[in-house]
Parts: sequence; C-alpha cells; structure tokens
Amino acid sequence: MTGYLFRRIAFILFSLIGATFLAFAASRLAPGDPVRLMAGEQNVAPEVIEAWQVRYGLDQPIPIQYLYYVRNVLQGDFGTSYQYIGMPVMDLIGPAVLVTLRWESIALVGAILVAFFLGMIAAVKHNTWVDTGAMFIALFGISLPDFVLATFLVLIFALGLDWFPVAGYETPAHLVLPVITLAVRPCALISRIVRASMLEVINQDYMRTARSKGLSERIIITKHGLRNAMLPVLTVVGVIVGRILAGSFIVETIFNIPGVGRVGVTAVLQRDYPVILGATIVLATAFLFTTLIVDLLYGVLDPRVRVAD
Amino acid sequence: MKKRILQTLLVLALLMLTLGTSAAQDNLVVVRYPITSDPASLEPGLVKELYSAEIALSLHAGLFTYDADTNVVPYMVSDYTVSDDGLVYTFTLHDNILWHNGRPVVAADFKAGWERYLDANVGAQTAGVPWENVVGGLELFADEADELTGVQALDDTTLQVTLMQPSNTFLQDLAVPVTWVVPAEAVVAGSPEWVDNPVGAGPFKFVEWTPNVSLVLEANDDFFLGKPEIDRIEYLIVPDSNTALAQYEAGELDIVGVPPSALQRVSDDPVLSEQLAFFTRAQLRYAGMNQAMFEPFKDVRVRQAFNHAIDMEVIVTQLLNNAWTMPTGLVPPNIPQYNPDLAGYTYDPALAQELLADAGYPGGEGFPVLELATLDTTQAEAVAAMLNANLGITVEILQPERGDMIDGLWAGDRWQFFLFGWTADTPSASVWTYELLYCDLDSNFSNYCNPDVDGLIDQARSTLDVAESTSYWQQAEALAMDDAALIPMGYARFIYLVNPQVEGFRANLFGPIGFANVSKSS
Repeated sequence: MTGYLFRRIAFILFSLIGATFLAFAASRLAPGDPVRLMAGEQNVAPEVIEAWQVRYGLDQPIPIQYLYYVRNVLQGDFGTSYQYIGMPVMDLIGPAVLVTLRWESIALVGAILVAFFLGMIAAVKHNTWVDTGAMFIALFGISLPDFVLATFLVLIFALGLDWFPVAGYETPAHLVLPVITLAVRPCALISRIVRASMLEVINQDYMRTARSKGLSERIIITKHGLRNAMLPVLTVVGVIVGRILAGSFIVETIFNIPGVGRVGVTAVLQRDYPVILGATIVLATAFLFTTLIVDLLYGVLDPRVRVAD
Repeated sequence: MKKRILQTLLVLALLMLTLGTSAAQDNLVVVRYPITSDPASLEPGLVKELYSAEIALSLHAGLFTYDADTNVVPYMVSDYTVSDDGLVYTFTLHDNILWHNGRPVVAADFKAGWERYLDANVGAQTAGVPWENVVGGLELFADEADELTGVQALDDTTLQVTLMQPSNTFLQDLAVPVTWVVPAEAVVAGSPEWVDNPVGAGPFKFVEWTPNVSLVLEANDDFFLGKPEIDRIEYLIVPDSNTALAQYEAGELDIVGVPPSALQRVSDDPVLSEQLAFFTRAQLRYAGMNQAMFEPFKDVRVRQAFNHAIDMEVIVTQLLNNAWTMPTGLVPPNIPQYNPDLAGYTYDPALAQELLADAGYPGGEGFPVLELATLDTTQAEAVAAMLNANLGITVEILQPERGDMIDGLWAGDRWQFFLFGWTADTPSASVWTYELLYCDLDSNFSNYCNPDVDGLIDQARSTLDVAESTSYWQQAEALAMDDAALIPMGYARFIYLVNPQVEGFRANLFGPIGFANVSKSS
C-alpha cells in the first residue's frame, strides 16, 4: 500500500511539472502583451513597455523564464500578479479556491444525494411511469447547457419572483441559483448511472440470496444493492469533480462568484501569466488528488480491488 | 437512512450559513457600484486603467482635478502664480488638509511623493512622463541624481515647481491621479505597491478590500471640502456587464454601465429608460485602412470611396441605438481643439463608385479580397455588407481574440482593415491627430503618412499660444479628413443607469468624477 501511494504521488508530481510546462508554453506563445492589454485603446510609451518587461523578466528567453519560474515555485514563491500590482498570486488564488470548493462541494453533494434518490427509485420501479418520468428529467438535465439554465433561473426566480438575488457572493441565498445550475447536469448523469448500475445489481445472485433470507426490500436495496452499485458511480464522480473544478467558470461568471474559474479566465484574458500558472497548478493538484482519493475509495468499497503491496 | 439524509442536510445548511453574512449596518447611506475588475493598485501614481483611476478619485486628492465639464480646477491648491517666463509655478495649499492618518498635508509631501514615482523600481506606468519637463526630473528618473531639484517646498503650504520649457499642459498633468501622492509614512517598506492599508487625503477612506469581491470605502469626516453626503461606497467586482445589468434591475446595484447590446432593450423599457444617463466620452471609434498591408489603400480615392460608401447613420442609430454619436472628424466634441467646421463624409454610394472607378476598380472589378479585423462583429458585418453592396468589394471578417488583435495593431503587419477605438488620457487633439496619424509612430496603426499633416502637427505641438496651436490642430485634422486618413465611425459615450434615489452622479470626458458630491435619498 505505501509503495503504491508513493508511486502515485511521484506520478502526481511528474504530471504537475508537465502541466506547468504546458500552461507556461501556451500562455507565452499566445499573442498578446500584458502591458498593452491593460492600456487597451490608449497609447503606451515604448519606454514604459520596456520597463515593465524588464521588471517581470519578460525580456529573457522563454526557456530561461521557465527555469526561473520553476525555481521560484519550488521555493514556494508563485510570484506577483501583473494585473494587480504587487498582489502575491496565492493571495489572489487562495481565497478563490476556498470559494470554489465551498459552493461546488455543496452542489456536488446535493447532486449526488438527489441522483441516488432518483436513480434508485427508477431502478426499483423499473419500466413504470416513475422510471420514465425520472429518466426524462435526467435527460432534460443533461441536455440543458449551464448558461441557458442559469439565464432562465435568473429570469424566473430572481428578476421575476424576486425570491433570490441575481448574482454575488454575500449570503446563503446568493448561492441557491448557482448551486442548482451547477448541480443539474452531474445529478442527471449520476442518476442514470445509479439506475443502470442498480438494475444490474438487482438481478445478481446475492440479491436473490438476500431476498430468500427474508430480509426486507428496503434493507436489501440500501445495504446490499446500493453499496455494490456505487462503484461505477464513484468513477463518474471523480471525473465530474475534475470537470466542475475547471469548467464552472461560466456559472461563476454569470452569478459573479469570486471563485477560481472566474479568476483564471480574467487572468487568461489579461495575459496575467503568474496567475494563469498559479491557477493551473492549484487546479491540476486538486484534480490529481481527487483521482487518487477515488482510486483509494475503490479499495474501501470493494475488497477485490484492494491494492496488493 | 432517513436520519442520515437529515444529518447531511443539516451539515449542508450549516455550511451555507458559514458564508460571510456581512449584513449592511442600518441607517448607513451606501452606494453600490460595480467595477469589472479589481483596481490594479490603490496608489494613485500607479494607476493604469479606468477603475484604479475612479477609485483614486475617491480615496485621494491632488493639486488640481478635472471637473464635470473636464476643466482643470484647483483642488488642494487655494491659489497659484506662474512667473512671467512661464517657468516657475508657485502653489499655495489649503492649510486644513489632513491625510487619512490624521497628519496635516504639507508641501514637502509632494516633493517626496514625486521623487518616489521617479524611482523606476516603484513601477509607475507613466513614470517620467509628467516630470520630463520639470528641472531635474530626467536626471532623477535615470538615477543620476538624488533629488527632484525643480520642486521645492518653501514652507508647509507653499510648493514651487520650476520647468525647463514653458508648457500649457502642465496643470493638466497635475489634475490626473498619476501625479497625486500619498504620505511617505504610509508606504510600507519592502512593499512598494502598498495594497494593505492605503492612506490618502480624498473624500473617502479605505475600509476593506477583498480581492475578486469588493472594495469598501467610507466617508472621510475630515475631508477639507466637507464630509461627503453618502456614508459608504461599495465597489463590487462584477466582470460580466450583463450580470451587472441584471443586478441593477433587481435593485442590487445603484449605478451600472449599460452594454451597447442591451441599450435597445433598456431604451424601450418605460421604467429603465427614465433612469438612463449619457455622458460624452473622449473616445473615437474608427476603421483603420492599413496602407502597409493593403496596396489599394495608398490611393486617396479608394480611401475616400470607402468613407462615402459606409452609412454611418444606420450603424450609429439603428445598429448601436445611439450608443455613439455621429462622427464629424477625428477629435470628439468637448475637446478644446474640436473643430466645429468639419462635417464628416456624407453617405453617397454613387460618388463612392465613381471614386473607386477613377482609382482603377470600376464596380469593384480587380479589387483584391479585403480582410477586416474586429472585436465586435455586429458593426463589421454592416461595414462589409455596405462595401459589398455599394462598391462590389468582398470583405472577409476576422475576429481575433482581444490580446491578438491589440498585438497585431501595434506590430502593424497583421490587419489590412480594422475596427478599433482610441481613448484620451488628456483632453487634447494630440491624442488622435498626432498619435493616430503622425508618420512612423507605433500607434499610427494605419501606417498613414502625409508630410503636410505632420508639418501642421509639429507646429501645433511647438506653439505655446493656445489659440494659435488650436488653429494648427484644426488645420491638421481638416487636411487629414480631406485625405481620408481613416474612417471615423463615431464618438463613444458613457451610458449609465442610475437609481432615481441617487443624485449628483456625473462623468466627464474620462469617466465618472467620483462620489464626493453624490447623495442618495432613502
């Protein structure tokens, strides 16, 4: 087990180096000068551009810049933002990561709970109107793009009924609409997998054995069925976590949540290189460790995949 | 199972409750105002974009400022004299100005502050520029001196500045936040950018800055011109303009900029249209014809044909719902050198066809396919359609990403034909006539070059007499317009929705002038 963990963590470090290299190369090779972008439709004196390039080390060859960057990061120094003068990158990204983790974990946990409920009902009531109804809702949820759903939710529940605020990150009420927006797709996806997986489990021999022992249907479904049906779901959840971590910038932008997606996109548009790289490292780390945790959980849920040392 | 679900829900509820519930205190008059990004810096000398400048106007104060009509007016200065040779300015400061930390503002603070901005390591974007003409400025910037010798504090309230050449724009330089200073003791050593606890002398004091979320300022009771009427400003960071608009409609914001795409809907709304406020902006929208990239643009008849073939009125009124005003030349109205005699090109397809035929392309025959680079396809589609219908020219639209677009413009060798804008940082025709048209200048994205225009610009720049200089600027602009140097598309405006309870919100040519004179009834 320790050997396996060690190998996995080494792999994570290796992947991180790869991710920073790609992000570094992509951001530097993309056209667009941070200083000129800031000025936009105004004049900037050539001396000013030059002074800033020297200040940020942008006058060095790109490979040298990368080596400097890696050296600094290894010493825990992620640099300062170009856009917000003197702001350390982690002061900008750290709070944003916490915001994202907080609201997205609410969305994810909510999505999983509702998905299990829908999926199990659909499986148990297989081929009845309950099944069809639940799966129709799920299909609808999968097909609906985030920004469309968000727009409708804002129109109806914020501007129309005035139940929730339009946008912002101030009170719990501010989170209701974005959480729903973000949760609908994973919820729909997971519920379909729960259903499929439950249907398969329900017809297994051990389920028949459990029934023949005279256990109540509820115990059978929740204790024997659910646990076994969870394995494929776990895989999907791992992937979904990665996807919503990086992909929630649309929802964060529409609802103006100061999370890492919004911060990252702003940084890309402004060519704020240190912030782009910092966000990449944070997101990649989160994704890689999620994958690791998912793999370890397999072992907890199913003794057959417990890792041999 | 039920129990567990209940537990989970409880945990979730608690999680949500732990969110900062910064409920606004009662009885405070708060104005909530969106900005699209965090300010780049809270130090006035490091301001480099609109939002830092807006916030600087609330937090800080300077010797002079621009009023709502974009006139330079004394601010911290109660009186000033200029020597007969135009070289020595002597400023008398109000004697009741306090920094936010309680210490009186003295003349020596300006000398120290300016010397700091001239340290290249501090990173003031405009470092050097306003002081180029101050005795000792260039030496200090080049690190060849220890002191800004041309600036002397004669006593606590008297500041003397000696210039090398007489200048009629020196007071303008003093009216923008980049020359405003902060007290030396508030600048934290080793943290020159100074973001933690900014101290100024402006109408509002710093309360709290949460990056990505908000910046909160409160009224300065000791402001030397009197305490502002509102108690707090909450600058909320809202990058998406449509989100901000929806928040305004729901009453979550007091003021919001209206994106051009939403102007039609807002103008048609009986309630919202009453809350619209328009302010002239010092920004030209134009189509540039890059002569270095596209041979036919070297022919003045082609450039004139293009000017006559685009129906600006349709674009401005129907496509943009008057978000811009109709162009007459290069220099927007309200700029002192604005030329009221110019009328712009008339929409005249027949004349345009004739000019194009004279240039050797009858009916557009033989005219190469032209690429039009733009950040906004709406206007580009209209321009392409009009050129095709009226001149028989095929225009292909390119939509580069913003960074790519700007890079390509400065490089000068990417875009043949482009839609862009040019905004003033100072109220002078020089911003457009010089920066966009002077031969071989980097910002001359059209690679236009006319020695006659350059000659007039040189004279305008070197003439001290204001009226005479203005006349040269106007002649240069008129000549460039005859020569169809570029295609003016319109003058942009600032468009806001303002909560009817809020009074006194104004913008000058550069942007909103701050909240010192804004009030809000409940």
